[in-house]
Amino acid sequence: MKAIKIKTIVVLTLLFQMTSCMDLNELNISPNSPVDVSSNYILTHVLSGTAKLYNNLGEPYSSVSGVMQYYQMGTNEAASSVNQYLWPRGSWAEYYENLRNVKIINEKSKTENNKFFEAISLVLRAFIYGTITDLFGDAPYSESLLASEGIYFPKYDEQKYIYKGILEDLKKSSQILADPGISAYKIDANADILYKGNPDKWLKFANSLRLRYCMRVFNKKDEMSKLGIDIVSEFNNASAYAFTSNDDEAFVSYLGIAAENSAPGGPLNEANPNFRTKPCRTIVDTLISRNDPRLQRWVMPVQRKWDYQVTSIVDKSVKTIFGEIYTVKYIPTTNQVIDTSLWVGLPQNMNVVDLLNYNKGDDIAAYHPERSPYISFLHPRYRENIGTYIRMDLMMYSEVEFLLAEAAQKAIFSVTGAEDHYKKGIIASMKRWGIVDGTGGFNFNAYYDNPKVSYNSASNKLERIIDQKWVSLWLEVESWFDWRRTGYPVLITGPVTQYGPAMPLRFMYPLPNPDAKYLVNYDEAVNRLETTSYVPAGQSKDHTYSKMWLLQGTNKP
Amino acid sequence: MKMYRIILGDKRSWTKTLRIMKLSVILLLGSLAAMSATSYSQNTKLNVSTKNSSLIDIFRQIEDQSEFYFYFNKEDIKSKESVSVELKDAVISDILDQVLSNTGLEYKIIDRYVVIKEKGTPDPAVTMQMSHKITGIVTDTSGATLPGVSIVVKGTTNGTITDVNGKYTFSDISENSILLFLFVGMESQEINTGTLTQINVIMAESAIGLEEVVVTALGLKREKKALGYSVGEVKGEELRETPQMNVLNALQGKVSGMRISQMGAAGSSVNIIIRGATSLSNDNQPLFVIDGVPVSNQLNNYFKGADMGNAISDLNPDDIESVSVLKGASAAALYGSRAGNGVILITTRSSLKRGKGIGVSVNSSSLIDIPYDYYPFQYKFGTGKAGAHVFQEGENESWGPQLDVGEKWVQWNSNGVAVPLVSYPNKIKDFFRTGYTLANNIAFDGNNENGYFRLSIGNMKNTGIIPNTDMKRSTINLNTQYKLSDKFSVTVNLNWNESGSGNQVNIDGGDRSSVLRDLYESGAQVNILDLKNYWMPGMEGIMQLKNAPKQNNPYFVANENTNSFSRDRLMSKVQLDWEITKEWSLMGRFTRDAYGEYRESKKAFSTYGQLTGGYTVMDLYNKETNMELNLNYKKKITEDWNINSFVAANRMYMYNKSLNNEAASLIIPDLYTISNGTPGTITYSSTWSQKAIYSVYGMASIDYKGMAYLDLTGRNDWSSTLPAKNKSYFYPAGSLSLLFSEMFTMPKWITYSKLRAGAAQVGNDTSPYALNQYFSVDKDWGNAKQMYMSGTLKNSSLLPERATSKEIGMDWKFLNNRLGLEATYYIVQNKNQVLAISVPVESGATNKLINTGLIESRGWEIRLTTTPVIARDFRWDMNFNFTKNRSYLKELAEGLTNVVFANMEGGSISTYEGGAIGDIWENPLLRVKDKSSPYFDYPLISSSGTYQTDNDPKHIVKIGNSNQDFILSIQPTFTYKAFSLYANIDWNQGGEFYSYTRMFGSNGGKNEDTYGGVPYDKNVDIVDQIKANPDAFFGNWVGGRLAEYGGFPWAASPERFDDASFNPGVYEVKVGGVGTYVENLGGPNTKWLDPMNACRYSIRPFPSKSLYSATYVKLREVSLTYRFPKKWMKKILIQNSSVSLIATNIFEWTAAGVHIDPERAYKPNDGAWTQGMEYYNTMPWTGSLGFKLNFNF
Repeated sequence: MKAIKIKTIVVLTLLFQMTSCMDLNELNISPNSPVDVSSNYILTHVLSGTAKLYNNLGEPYSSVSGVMQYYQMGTNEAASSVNQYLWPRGSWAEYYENLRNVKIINEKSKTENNKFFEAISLVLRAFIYGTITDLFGDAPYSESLLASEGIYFPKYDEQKYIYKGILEDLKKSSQILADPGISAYKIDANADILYKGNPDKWLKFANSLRLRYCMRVFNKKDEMSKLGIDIVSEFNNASAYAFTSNDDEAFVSYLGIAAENSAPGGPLNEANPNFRTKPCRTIVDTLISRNDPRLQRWVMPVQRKWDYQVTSIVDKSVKTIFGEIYTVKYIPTTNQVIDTSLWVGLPQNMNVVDLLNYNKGDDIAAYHPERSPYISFLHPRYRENIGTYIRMDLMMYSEVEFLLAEAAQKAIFSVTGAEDHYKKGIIASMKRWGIVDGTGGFNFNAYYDNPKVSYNSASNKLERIIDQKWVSLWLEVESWFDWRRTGYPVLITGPVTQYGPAMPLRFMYPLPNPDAKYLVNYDEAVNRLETTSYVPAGQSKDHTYSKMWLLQGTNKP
Repeated sequence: MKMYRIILGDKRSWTKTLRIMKLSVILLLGSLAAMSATSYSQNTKLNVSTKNSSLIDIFRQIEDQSEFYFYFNKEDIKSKESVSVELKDAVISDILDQVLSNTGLEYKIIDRYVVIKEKGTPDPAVTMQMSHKITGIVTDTSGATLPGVSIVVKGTTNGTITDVNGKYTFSDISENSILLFLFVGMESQEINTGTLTQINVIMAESAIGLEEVVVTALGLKREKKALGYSVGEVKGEELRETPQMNVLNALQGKVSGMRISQMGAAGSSVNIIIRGATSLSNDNQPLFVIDGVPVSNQLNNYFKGADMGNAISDLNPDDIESVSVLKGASAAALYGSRAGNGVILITTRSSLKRGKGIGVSVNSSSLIDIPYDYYPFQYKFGTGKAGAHVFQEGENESWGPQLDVGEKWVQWNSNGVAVPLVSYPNKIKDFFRTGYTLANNIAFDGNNENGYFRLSIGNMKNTGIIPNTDMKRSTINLNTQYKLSDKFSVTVNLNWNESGSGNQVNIDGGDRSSVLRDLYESGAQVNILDLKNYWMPGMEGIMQLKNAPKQNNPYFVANENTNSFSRDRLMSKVQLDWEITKEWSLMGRFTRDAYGEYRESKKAFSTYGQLTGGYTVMDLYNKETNMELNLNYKKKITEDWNINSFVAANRMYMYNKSLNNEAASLIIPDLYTISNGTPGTITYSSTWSQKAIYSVYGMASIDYKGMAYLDLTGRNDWSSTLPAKNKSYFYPAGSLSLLFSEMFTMPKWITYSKLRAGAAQVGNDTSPYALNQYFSVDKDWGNAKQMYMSGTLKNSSLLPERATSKEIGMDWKFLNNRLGLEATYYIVQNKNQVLAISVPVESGATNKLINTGLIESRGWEIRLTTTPVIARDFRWDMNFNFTKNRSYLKELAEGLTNVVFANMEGGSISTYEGGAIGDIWENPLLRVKDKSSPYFDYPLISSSGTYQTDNDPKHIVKIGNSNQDFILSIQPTFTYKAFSLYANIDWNQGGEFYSYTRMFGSNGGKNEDTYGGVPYDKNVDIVDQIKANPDAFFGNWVGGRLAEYGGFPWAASPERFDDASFNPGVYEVKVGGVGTYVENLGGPNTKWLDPMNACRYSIRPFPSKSLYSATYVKLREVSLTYRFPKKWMKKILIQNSSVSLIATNIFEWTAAGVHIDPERAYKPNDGAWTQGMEYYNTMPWTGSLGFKLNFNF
């Protein structure tokens, strides 16, 4: 009897357990992740991500900065892409990752009726798509970001439509931001790591970007006008309320705490201190010839300087205009083809074996291949996690002034006073790097009077403006876009380039998805590219030397 | 009066050795013999002549002259004084009377046997255990003799087998022993010997064919003949007769249709694939069910690049009774969702059931792991990039100066003095060490009429071949059953194990904290032993000593950058069985598998890539519980019809928790706590998830006359992970087994014949929270929180997966089981598989959860068992397992046609709709496409003189497939008396793998074949040679590091060594927009390259250049076992014991011959493996040698 009781109890207990069901649908609600979050949190993610991405285009190992002859690689590492233009396929993955989140901000701004967020989402959308199309050409735009609606293989839109969209987005955002009612909509100042929730700054940024993009498509203004975009009036409209001082600049500061928020050259991101990235001789010599103080912000003197005067090796103390003191060994030489300056840049496009021995003269000692004492290093601030002048620029005030100078020079916009804007551009750039007239021995007028600097002494005004802009855009990708558009500055390639004596024009598309349906879209876009004589015969037109719509028929660069 | 029988056997069988055995051992007396004895003893005349001889000597003299045999107790006569005798032509009684006088001994003569004993002691026969010889012949019912029949004395290990004539002999057998006659396919017989001397046996064929019983789904023990599907099994005997160091070895090669590999060192994850990888998304691992406890076995192969092992690596092989592999869905249908990849049922040992008392079993094994084949790096050139004339110690490449020729350079440890560059060809060997594994296990068991128990305690300790790596495991296993009443019993199983490692090897080739990578990238001029004291003197704990700035010291990594774990796991079961009536029974059980795993990763200060160190701790907890109620009904309906059926319900609940804290940088060196993390670098994450499945299922098995069996099963699951409307899914299965050998009269040589067929479906759910979009949290930006939507597009309308499998097979036994064949052909069609398919990021998602169309696997499984030789003491068995599988992507999903599994430089592993899983693709070399050009098909070289890739995605070419064509495993076993020799040989044919080690080895100038490019004749113009034989040159590099290796002089820089090299082809020069091709064939316009770039651009961008055949033959295991004779062991109370010598992986042949084990060509890929990619983590080939002792008390 007892046994039977036990059996009954056990079986009943089991049955009871079995029937005490949990609600299966309830179980499948994630306890870990939110379904909805405030746009403020997404905004920080997008801003930090976009700033980092955009900044990375100029450094480190940037093939663009190699092309624009800001720097060269001093060893074999990355030399093929930076020095020799063997560019791998580009990647737009992170741009679209950010766009996905920008889209969420945009959608939420409408459902939550926050005009400020809407405007910001438009600015960011324009900025990111702008970067994509500037780099690659045609790109998924109108059908992109619709995976949730089953569109996995969006078509590649023609570039002109993307620029149209960008300019429209920027215009719309500037209209929203210019509305006095905007102050009613709040954004967490802490979350807005660009402008601390200040709509006025955002307005200026939106308008400045409009200037940038109007000028970007300047050579194609007729085609744009067929699409209903009048570049001139757009420009004129935006120029009325763009950046007016360095305080307006769009940049994100590094925090220097962890790898992901620190400068790319610092120890948190570079286990091997970056001495292999060398300033390029082109920029160094340009700065030297103009006695440009920015040189000393960016570049260190050599450790061993060849010298025609000294008769024996002597250590000399070199003090920069910023008061930094370096000890430089002066080495006597009579070699007339050697670079005897204190700041020595590495010539562009050199053979790896030659660059390892560059400017070594008759010195037979072996040096660390990345640390030749005869070639200048970048300033130590480029090997720090954080530094006063090291930041992620999206757009600087100087660029706006140079755009205005160019517009005035072109004389079809309402902007006038080219030289004034040109000067303001230089001053703004100097200020960006902590160089202020009258301090530290810097005299702006003395600098400006240099015939290589002053506007009036230039025979080609546009070249003069863009040359200065190129300097101001040190390690910025924007200088490459200017060069493509104007052919300035005139840069000459060196002995070893992958596809011949010319500079690349675009990024190759990311590795296409192998799906046949994807390739249909991809091929259409590739077919719209225009091959140049530097694209190898039989090679796909998806090449760094093919011309995108923006460059087609412009005879530029 | 006692009656003794004299057994008159073959005289030779009474060996002389018997004489000196204890008296109690044998005595032969008998009245019959006594009659003739008198005459012999009286008629035989003997001469004895001794002086001071021992009694034994005298007995020997007599034996030598006569047929007399003496029996005595040695102790009795040892103490007796020597005697001197001189007798001629005397009868034996005269001699003995004289010799034994004054000794206190007396004698007794029976026939020719003489027994010597102390005077007055009782007749020895009374205390004697009687023993005798038995002979006989075994035949079958038709009168044919049966060779190879096993005859065992029950309760002992004594045994023999019949010879070719069916005859057997037991020379020494106790009265009333029970002989057990066993022969496959025959009814076994037990015969009490009584006092018989001859026992002839007729064995009847077993009425129902094979009595083989296998464990099937839900732990049901079924007769194998009744199954309509293929079940692979490794029986307890097989596991125990050839002792195994780990469960992996126990299974490898023994079951057809199964592929097993282990990536890392001892304790690392075991990768098991049954019938091919049909799932594109998950790890394809089968479900493990250990004593009825479903155990999660997900791969655990990526924590900071190290492999932490999966469930099967936690098991103690000494506890395993048997392993059943349920391969197809038919077999697995009853396990539901997770059985889609097959089920491995492990039954641990319960009581030995050998009678009363406590049994004790002790196993001990020791194994040493000896690395014997190292990847062959080159040792002729040192570190550098710039060619044979420049030493650049800071670089990772080895394209530098020649070694051992007296070139002097300042080196990292030469104190600024230029010293000659010398090679260290034993560099790799010096670094590795001999590993060892010690395993001990003790088990106690006992049983009585009310129940049994078995308690096993095991311990394993391993040290790895890489310094400071280890693995340990402790296990306690308790199996008990108790009958509460005749009809009610309770079974409890507890399997607790604790495993851990102080450091597991980082096998991520992409990580510079990989010991292997750091070791392999050190230059040939580096004496690795100089790095052994890995701290900079005076900077211990802060700065490692190293020879190259962009590397880590491998000793530093091994000792300081450790990845450790400890895992506590308890698998438990409580089961209640109630036999309600003869027909009805009820079973209820609760099972639980839970483990906690603590992982820790340290990075010391000065680690390359993490200069101020780092620390990560991870705390995981996983639990799964099942509650099951099962009502069983079985009935013999008529004489011919039997039915066995059940209905059951189950509730499964799974819970996972994970805490992960990481400090990416530390403040105080050598202090590993999260709170020591640099502010802002600490990240925390905590997640948990749960899922539940409710199920109702049932089975009916109908048996007609033991010749036809039909199984029908059905199951319905309700899973929490699927959308409400798709939550419930039903899947049926049916299988049929027809025994032709029962139905029809077969020729005599066909012993057994069966046809089986099955079709089944398994439904599967998905992981939790796959339906809705959720935001993710990014690392903080200062004091701002960052959140984002990740690229995975969830799917709120997911359907359950359905794997439909169909199989048909035949089982044959021939010649009384001397030959057996099991063959199965199967098709598995996997539909609606939930897959996170990659989509182009511009679509707004990086991957989307979809239900895929159809993946189909087809394959053959063939098992052949043979016994080529059976002789009296010798037996040779030979088993073959053949596996062939191919999986195809038949349909993908609406709008999608390609799945990419992995990308490598210049290619990918991806499959197009209609293609095979595992295809490897390459973007080919760019060649001249203009057919009218004389240079058509010449490689088109870039302006800098290097090969270039054809970038058009439509031009990709298939270069291989990562799957084998077939696997054939052969297991010969030779048994000779107490010895058995077992071997396990695996032959994997076909398939390709991409080797990162080879690719980086070429890129870095570290391979032996990087001295020079394509060989050519120096005396013939190179341009002509290339044109004459373009295929040999195009795609490769021409030149070398020195003139002797094919290098050309540098016309432009004569100061350089002769190492100018080039990539042959043509390049294009455009003049006025018109292009012309210029030959780049070593002639005047050639674009010369340094050897590094010439080699790099010919190999690195093209995966086919580093793609190798995966064909190999491996001698996985050889073991020699000796079972101690029972009679020796009985003295020390040991019942069964054996010693085995084991050697594993002592031989391997690969078709590729690049010293890389194709079996390890997997890239760890968090929670899965990318097959077909060897990821820069080639370990030396390591053989193991050792022994195992087994004692049962």
